Amino acid sequence: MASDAFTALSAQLRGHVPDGLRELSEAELSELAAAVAAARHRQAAALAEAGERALSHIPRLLRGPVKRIVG
Amino acid sequence: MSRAADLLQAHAEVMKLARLLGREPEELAYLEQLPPDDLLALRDSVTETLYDAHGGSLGRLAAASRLLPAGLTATIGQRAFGPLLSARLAGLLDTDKAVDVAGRLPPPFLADVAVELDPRRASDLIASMAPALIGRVTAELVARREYVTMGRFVGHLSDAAIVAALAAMDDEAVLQTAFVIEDRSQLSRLFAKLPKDRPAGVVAAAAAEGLWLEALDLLNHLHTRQRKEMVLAARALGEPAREAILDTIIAHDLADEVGLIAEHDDSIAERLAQRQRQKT
Repeated sequence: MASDAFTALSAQLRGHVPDGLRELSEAELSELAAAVAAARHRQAAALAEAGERALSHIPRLLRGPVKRIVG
Repeated sequence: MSRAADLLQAHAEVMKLARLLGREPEELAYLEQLPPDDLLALRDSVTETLYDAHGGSLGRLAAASRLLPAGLTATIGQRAFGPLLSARLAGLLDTDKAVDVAGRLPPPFLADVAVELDPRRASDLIASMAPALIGRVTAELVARREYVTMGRFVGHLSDAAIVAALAAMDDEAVLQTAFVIEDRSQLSRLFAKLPKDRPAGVVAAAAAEGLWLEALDLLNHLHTRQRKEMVLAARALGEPAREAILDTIIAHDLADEVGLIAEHDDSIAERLAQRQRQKT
């Protein structure tokens, strides 16, 4: 039966976890799942910040059309 | 591959995964006990997860960039998006536009992007980039000793770009990059593009830096003529190098490599037997 930590990591990676990772301890699997979650959050935060910063570089005339596409 | 080479490959895989996760490799050291193939599959899975996590938003940003001239897109890439998001966006832009944008960015920034980029997601862009620019970015990566990054790109570069990249690499960088290359079937192609005197330089770098395990591991993936060049170059280095090679073979039990060396240096088997007699 899969460990809780293996299941949590598997959920993060949509089921694509190599079987060899079952050799890791619960603590190691949890740490890995946390690292994946943190990377996702880092990417989400970078995206949120970048949108605002990008607009400040775009000529006023184009800001409307760009905003409509980006949403 | 020997057990020792496996461990070095696992270490390289953990470095690649650490980059992807924004962690220091030491924080993921517990993964080095796993086989390299499992680590590669794990990295693929994490890559898919991160690239797909915000695919909708990234796709809309790429679509919006069609409204902007390349120069402005480059400015926004550098000043607003930074290397991580630029890497995620690179493969979503139209290839011609992306090539134009890349040509307007400074090589140090492109090197930052290369570290974050999954080359498989931007293969057309990488193959279309000007060889001279590839050479300048490679020089940046060499200065940072980013061998694992360079190793991920080789299979996506045009022949002319490989020549330009090799010109920007010292012999140690060629050896270190070759050892961690993502697609090992590309090794003979990489070595085929080396100028005539450089295989000997790569062997000399192995001797100077104590990288015989890495150099011997390469023998399994080169063409016969390329192997011959390496073996003869090692032989020409003289006794200390030949002894160091024997030490490495014995320490890591490299039976396959002995067979490959013996094709071009028939003294290897006798020297090995002699060493083993001395030991007993």
